[in-house]
Amino acid sequence: MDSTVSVSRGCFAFPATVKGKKAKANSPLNFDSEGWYRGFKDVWDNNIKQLDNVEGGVIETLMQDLTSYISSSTENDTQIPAAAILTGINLPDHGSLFSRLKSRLHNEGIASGVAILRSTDCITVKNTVERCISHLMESPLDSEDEFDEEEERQIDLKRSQCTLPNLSKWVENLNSRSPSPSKKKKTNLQRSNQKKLVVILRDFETFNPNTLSAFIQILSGYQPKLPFILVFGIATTLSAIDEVLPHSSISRLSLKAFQAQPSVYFLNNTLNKVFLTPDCPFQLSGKLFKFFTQVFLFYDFSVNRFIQGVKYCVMEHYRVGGTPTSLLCCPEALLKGRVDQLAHDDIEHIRRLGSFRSYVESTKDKQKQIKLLSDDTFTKKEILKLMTELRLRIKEFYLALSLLHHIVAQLPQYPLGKQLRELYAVAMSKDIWVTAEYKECKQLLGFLSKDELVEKTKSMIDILVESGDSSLMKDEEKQLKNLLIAVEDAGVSKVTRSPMKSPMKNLTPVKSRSELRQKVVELGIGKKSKTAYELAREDLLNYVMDEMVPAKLRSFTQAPLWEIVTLVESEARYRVVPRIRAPIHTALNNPAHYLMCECCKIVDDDEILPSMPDLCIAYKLHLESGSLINMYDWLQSFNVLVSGKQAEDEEDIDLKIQARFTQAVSEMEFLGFVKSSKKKADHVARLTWGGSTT
Amino acid sequence: MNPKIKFLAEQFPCREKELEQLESLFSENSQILPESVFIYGQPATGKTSVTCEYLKTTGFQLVHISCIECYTSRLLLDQILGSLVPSESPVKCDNFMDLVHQLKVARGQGFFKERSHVLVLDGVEHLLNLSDVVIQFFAKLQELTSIYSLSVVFISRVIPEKFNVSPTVVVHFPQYSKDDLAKIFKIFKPSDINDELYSTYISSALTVFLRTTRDVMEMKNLILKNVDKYVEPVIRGDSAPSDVLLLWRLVTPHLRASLNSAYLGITLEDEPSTVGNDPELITHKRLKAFDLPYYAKYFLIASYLASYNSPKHDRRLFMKNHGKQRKQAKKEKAKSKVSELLGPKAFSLDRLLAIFYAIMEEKASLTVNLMSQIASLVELRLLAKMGDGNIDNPKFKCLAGFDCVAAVADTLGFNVRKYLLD
Repeated sequence: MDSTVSVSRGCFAFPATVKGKKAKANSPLNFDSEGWYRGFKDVWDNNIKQLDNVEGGVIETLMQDLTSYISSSTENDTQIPAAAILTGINLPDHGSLFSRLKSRLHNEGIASGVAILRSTDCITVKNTVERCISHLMESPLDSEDEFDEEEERQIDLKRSQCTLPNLSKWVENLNSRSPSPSKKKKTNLQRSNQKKLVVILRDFETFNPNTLSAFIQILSGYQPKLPFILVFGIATTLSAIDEVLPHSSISRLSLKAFQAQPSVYFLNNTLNKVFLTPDCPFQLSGKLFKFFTQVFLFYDFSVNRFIQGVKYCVMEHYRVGGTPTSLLCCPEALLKGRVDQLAHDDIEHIRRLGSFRSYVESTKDKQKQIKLLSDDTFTKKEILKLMTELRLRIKEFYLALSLLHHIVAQLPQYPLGKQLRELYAVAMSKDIWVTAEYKECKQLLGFLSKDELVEKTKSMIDILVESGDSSLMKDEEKQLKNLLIAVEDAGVSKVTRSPMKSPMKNLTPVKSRSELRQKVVELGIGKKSKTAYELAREDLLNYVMDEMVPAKLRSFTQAPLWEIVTLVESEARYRVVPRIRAPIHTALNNPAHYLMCECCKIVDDDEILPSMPDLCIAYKLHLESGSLINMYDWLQSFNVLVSGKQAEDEEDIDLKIQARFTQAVSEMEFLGFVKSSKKKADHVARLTWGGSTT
Repeated sequence: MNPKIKFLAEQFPCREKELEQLESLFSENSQILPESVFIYGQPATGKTSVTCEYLKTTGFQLVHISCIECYTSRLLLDQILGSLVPSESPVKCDNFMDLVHQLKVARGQGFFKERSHVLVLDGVEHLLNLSDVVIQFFAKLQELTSIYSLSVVFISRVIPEKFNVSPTVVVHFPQYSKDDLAKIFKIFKPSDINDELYSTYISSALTVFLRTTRDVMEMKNLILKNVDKYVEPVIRGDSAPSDVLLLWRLVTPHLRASLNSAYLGITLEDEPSTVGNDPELITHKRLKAFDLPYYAKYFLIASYLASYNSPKHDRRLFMKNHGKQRKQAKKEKAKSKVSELLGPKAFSLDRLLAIFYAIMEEKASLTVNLMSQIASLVELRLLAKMGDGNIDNPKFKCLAGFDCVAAVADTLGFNVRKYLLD
């Protein structure tokens, strides 16, 4: 404690010293020194950059429309220009959309202030106005994150000062400070050039209707003086506006609707450009990938959550894999240098991998086998070779995948799905060419007209050419070209391929009518002659669907060392989509599962040990009872378990144990398992897991 | 009549009577003013603009306060004092007595001698949120401060009987009639259109708009937006200016369309280049449909079914072996119609989950994400949470209409009607 310079005695307040950097103090663990974390960070930082680009690209057009609307809007006397953005349902992703809009408006000098309001901050009119104005008046240089600098801002801008009269003074100041050359022309022309005050309401539906309509009316009162523009983020439909606002408020707005891209589109873009490319250092296994897309489609439509989920899995992958993974699971260019860095332990680690072992076993050469298991330098070379092969195989896989996607994506009914991601999920988890859907696709492709087929084949060749790597699938390219020429040359004159069998030969007596029909159909097929085009088409499809795709679209999870680059489903399911009841139940029923202590280990689920925490004992006892629990009985059994002896009557119970029991019960009540019942004296009602809903 | 008033009467047609009333209350150069005047009427009937213009032209010192933005008494008092008694230093006024005191001090300095002051409180019904006595206080402001050249004018949409005050004079601004509106809109006539054509246009436009809105400002926007459409056939020579019927037939669809969008408050631009970012136009259908995650859709349907079916029918509707249906068809029909009209019923979370699992084909394990779907539906105002504080068995109500739910169910290939008892 500091000493004071005062001579008098008394209480002295010592203001707490403000910690300069919160972030450093907050981070509980520092992984920076660990190898796996560095590997992860390299890869993930790179990913974040790409994701950022993709996101920017997706919302670019919307941003352009919005900024041009905001900058060009000329307000009339009575109405506030307002943009309603139909953002679609998920709210977590919209934060980035709006903060991008904000920084863009600042950077392009369109707005002198941007306020982003969330409904949770705006319960009363007072709150709304104050928050809005403090946001508007803050300088654009402040950090974007609205959560952290909340406190700091309060210091230089008092709440009570955030009023509209003050704001209009501030705007006047701002305008007089910036020297405007045409000060005499204070007409509409200048007004439209004036910097705007943009108020963004992030989640329009959740705003309190009364507050919002009052807020709008207040703003419209200042509309002649201050150039306000409202932006609504609407998750459902435009009709939400007239459900929330009364007519008197709506008539003060001149609304215009904008449509953001649906988040499914955003997801497809993200996947196709960031994750489902051969350049991505890690690959998602089919199961995991399917799981994440399902979470997206079924639960939340949030790309943000999707990315966070993948991030968790990637981190887990690196952590479990340790150094070898973090070194080897990297962009291809770095691979050679990284292999040289492998230490002996790391190589041992790799030797233990399942795929590597089976690779060793499959090599015929005994000498080589021994070398692979003992000679480090030789193994390093082999690892490098295998990794390059693996990368090559991944590239082939994606190339084949995009070819296949190209030809099947527009088929009627979409047997294999419309999106690349759907194809990927199937191709990663099994051999796609044995599935029924694949066969259906082939059948449907057999109906293509000449023009369509030629066009498709040409663009397939284009894809191959554009893939950049000319060595990749060169033979296939050549073959395709030849087949294409054949198709183009083929006329429609009838040619029969196989010599017709004499129908007389297999004219056996038929026994039933159905048999006869079948025979007739068979004969009809046999007779049907084919045109040259049909034959050429058949050749082409046979080649593409039966030879090329199966050869190239082998899932790379069969290749040696695939574990290094592929994320497999581990515990991700429970981490990313947590269950509600099970973890609580496990924690209370079997505390050793989480505490990992020896003393509480149980063999049978019903076993209760005195070493368990009191809460667990109380919980396990309450499981045995019905919907109403007698407190006295409960205490008795608790006592027996904890102290190990039966108590004759109430006074017998140790007061300490009674206190512990009371504490445990109140904890149970706090957790929502029991509540006091009015039905019976000295009883509590059980609320969960089989208790009645009284 | 005073020439100034005459000028005003031209500016504000159909308000002669009210202007005369105002003139009798606030005659020019009078030093003693009525204590308080209460002006009321429907929105957009010219209460504020007529009053303020009148007071300005007759040379009163006018202080106009919009009460809706005075959400604390501090804001109200500061503004009043600041504009009544202009001073260099920032004003500070904590409570009503302080205001009275400071006004008295200002009177002593001779502030209110030269000009008469009028304090106009616009939208005075919003002051009721502050405290009950605010309005009484202002009604008695003259008495409290003994400044007789200071008057308070209340302007409100609500009738004076709702306030606990007895103002000296009440002035009512009646709703404009159709003829009045026609007169008003003549002022806004674009210069290049001849009088007769314009007046026929006004009368036909008013018949369309008058049913939905009487707001003058809104109607003015609508009328001026569509005037070109009306004149267009005449300019092209398709129709004679006197052929009212043909012109009427040509313009009505435009008026109707703009009325629809006016009701929604949204201007849907015609040019495709400016509409949104999608290559496809934002049609009305597109605006109405919205996409929900898969499970949220089922939750919405389940909540609708739970709200509009009585729990006693659940067994019959959702279980496979529900036994035979008893023949009470007639009675039930009458009942179910009533239930439709009564609106959604509240249901418990348990029932919602039970129906959810009954109508879902695949199994979904009850995870945190699943439960958060319900919360997000509540956020989107598709469900409403009933009551508060009931944690162990919360109750909900479905707010979505049948059309909305049916549209959502269509995307899943689910037939809602099959599960509804009517």
